Amino acid sequence: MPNIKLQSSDSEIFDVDVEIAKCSVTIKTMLEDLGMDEDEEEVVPLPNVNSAILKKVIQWATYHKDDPPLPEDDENKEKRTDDISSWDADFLKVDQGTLFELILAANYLDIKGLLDVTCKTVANMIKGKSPEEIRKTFNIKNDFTAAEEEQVRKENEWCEEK
Amino acid sequence: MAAVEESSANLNKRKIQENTNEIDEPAQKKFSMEEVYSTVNILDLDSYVLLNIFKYCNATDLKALAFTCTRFASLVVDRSLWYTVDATSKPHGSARLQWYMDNCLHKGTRVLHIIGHALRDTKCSGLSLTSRATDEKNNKRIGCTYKTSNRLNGHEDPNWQRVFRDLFHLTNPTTKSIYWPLLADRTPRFHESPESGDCVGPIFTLSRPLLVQLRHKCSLTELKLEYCNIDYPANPIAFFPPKLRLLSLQGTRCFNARTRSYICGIHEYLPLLEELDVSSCDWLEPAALLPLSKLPCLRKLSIVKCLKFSECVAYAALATRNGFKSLRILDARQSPLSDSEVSSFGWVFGLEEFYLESGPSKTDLPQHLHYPDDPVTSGDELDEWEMSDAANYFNTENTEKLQNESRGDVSKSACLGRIFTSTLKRNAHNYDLNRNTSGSTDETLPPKKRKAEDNVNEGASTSKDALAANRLWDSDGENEDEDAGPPVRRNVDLLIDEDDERFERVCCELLPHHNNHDDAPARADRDDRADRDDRDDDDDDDDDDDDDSSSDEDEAPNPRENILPMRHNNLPMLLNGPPAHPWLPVANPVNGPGNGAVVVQVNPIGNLRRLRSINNLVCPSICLRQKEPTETSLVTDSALYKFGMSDNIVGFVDIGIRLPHFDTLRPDKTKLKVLVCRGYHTVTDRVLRHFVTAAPDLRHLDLRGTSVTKKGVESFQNLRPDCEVLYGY
Repeated sequence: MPNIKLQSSDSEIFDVDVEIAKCSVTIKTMLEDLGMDEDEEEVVPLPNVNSAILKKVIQWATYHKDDPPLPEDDENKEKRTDDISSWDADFLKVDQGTLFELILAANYLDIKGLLDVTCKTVANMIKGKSPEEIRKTFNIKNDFTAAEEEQVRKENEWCEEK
Repeated sequence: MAAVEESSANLNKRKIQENTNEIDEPAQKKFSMEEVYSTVNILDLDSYVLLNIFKYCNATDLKALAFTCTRFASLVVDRSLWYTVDATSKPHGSARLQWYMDNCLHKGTRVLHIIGHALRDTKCSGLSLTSRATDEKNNKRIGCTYKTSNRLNGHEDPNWQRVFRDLFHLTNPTTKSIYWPLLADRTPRFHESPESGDCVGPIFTLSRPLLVQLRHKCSLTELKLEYCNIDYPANPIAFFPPKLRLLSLQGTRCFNARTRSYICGIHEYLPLLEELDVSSCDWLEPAALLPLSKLPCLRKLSIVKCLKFSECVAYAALATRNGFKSLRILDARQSPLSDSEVSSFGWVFGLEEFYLESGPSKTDLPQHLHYPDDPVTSGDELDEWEMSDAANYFNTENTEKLQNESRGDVSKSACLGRIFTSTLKRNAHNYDLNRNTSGSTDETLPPKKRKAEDNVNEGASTSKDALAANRLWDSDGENEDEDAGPPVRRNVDLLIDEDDERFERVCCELLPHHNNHDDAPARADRDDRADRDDRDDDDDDDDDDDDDSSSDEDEAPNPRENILPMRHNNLPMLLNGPPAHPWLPVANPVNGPGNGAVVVQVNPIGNLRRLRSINNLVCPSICLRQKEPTETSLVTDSALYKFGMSDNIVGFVDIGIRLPHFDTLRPDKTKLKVLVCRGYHTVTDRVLRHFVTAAPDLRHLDLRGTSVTKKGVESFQNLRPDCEVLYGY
């Protein structure tokens, strides 16, 4: 089984089956474009992914290596978020920061399946919440200006008068 | 965190080997992340990724996101998120719809799903026209008047008519002047009814102003406006988005209907319509079948629980023989269609799926009404945080635009609402509502705008769309700047009170013919009657009244199983064995069930008396006894016999003069793939025998709740192993 060496941002080397690594479109095209020989002991640097995240990504890719290719995105298709497999759900029981890093890694490595499932997980965290709850969940600062706030308050008064 | 990573880095080489072993065991939940702790915030994600997340959010969630922070606010308006707007997660009033209209819907939006005053399972029948006191005095409460027997013979029962009118807000022709005040108000009033529980009553009214705005805002191809009130002073079909392919008006209620031509002209206004759902629309009259049948592309029609679709053989016959050219799927469950209407659909050439079920049980019917004299509470349809957008649509720009509209200046200001980015721009600059020139808006607001564009530029594939959207919006803004005179600050109430009139004018200019269809149903009625006399060969003319007012059925206990239960107006009857009368052809011996059957076709000139005499000769056991049909005997075998022709029928006997082009219209073999016919005890094994050869494409046959027997199903499946049959109770 031919292997490929992936180097994370913190210089850790991962020895990965080529077929598994190829679920990343980025790596796949890199291999094709550079014509890397499978025997060569070349190391592929991935400067945007640290070792912990890369490990998780490899873990995900290994589990999903036999998945059928995902269908093309259809604008009109209903976007479901309740179809996350239980393995993925367990896999994504991580802290928020890691989840976002996984999203960034999936985006950088162009792994559509992982990107989809992580985005769905985040979308599920958003669903049914009010703006204040969303801010709390994601630790977002309300950066609307005081004047805007004032305006909102005024409008509320105006509504209550009715 | 760095320290942890360093220490783990030392063990890297060894760990990799372990790692590969470990990850080969997926079932184990060993996602130990003790060394991973990250401080990445959601705002660190780039815009493309954020949009990728947001695309899984529905309209309500997106709206909440817009109010979270400025970055999200600028992202949420990305065009790509608003091609499909699904706002069915909770009931929406007009205020919410208006918000979407003003901030989100754009030229590219194709799909809009909105749910109105109630959810599907609240069983609310809306607001009554009478007062609760009157109804209680007369004991006319909804629970005790809504009876099955009334539903079947409702036309003669004045009380029933009244109940119907009250239930479904059909104005009595004599009280035309009553104009029911609609709750288009942005502050909804909830009529608290003791029975209603959580139901807040009708709060959302679909009115022409809304529809006209919608039309201008985007060209929708899919629109679901379910469970809302429709203000019906004139034909609203003319105001729906003209390119609709799918329209659902499920569970809507009508107010202020002056005529009954609810959907007259639908084939002219919505020629592209492929799917129509008018389930639970109790205002829909059988006459609607005629305009519906003229829709050239209509593929799927849902008329579930349309309680008025009974005794409409004339309309059904006419519509099915001449129209419904593209109809493939018909869902008529729980509508009181009877034999005549059902058999008419045997003429629809392309019909592939047909769903039938005996009428709604009492628990399915609306359970409560709201009365105008119920205690009224003013409530907030919008959540507290959603209040903040109130000024967005009651602002000066909108009013100006409306004025432009009324001047007929439609083309220049095709978008009526404000885009959310512009609201943002205004937000950032102290809501200068009183500013005098809109030009100043653009000058003073570059930072936010640039930020929005930056965000968009980060994105990869969506950026083009977003940029295009920005350009579109900008250009809209320019148009608006040109058109805007000195902004007039309007009182909010103005919009509500006067827009109807203004829009009336706009609409007259836009659609000069929209009022010309009021007399159509009468015309249709006339046509229909004439037509039926001429060509509805299926009816027996001996007793004209039978066609309209009551269903006759022969329920004679029959020793000879090949004889169909026969109805006056709905032949053929099938006779078994060699005919006993000399002028009936001798049946060829054919193997299989129904061997040697003969169809007797009674054409208009042949009268029933004569038929009776033949009956007595051929098959004395048929007697034409009238019997009141019950809910579960509305559809019988003879209706389903009209779907295709069985090979077992070996000859036709025509009694009377046969009119040309009659039999040629009905397809020889039906194309039905799916037939669901549940809950009719008058459907028997004979249907199975018929479908063995009459429906070669049949794959799914659901006859639960009918009188088919295990034996019948077994013999059917021997001959047709490719077709799945469901039966029993």
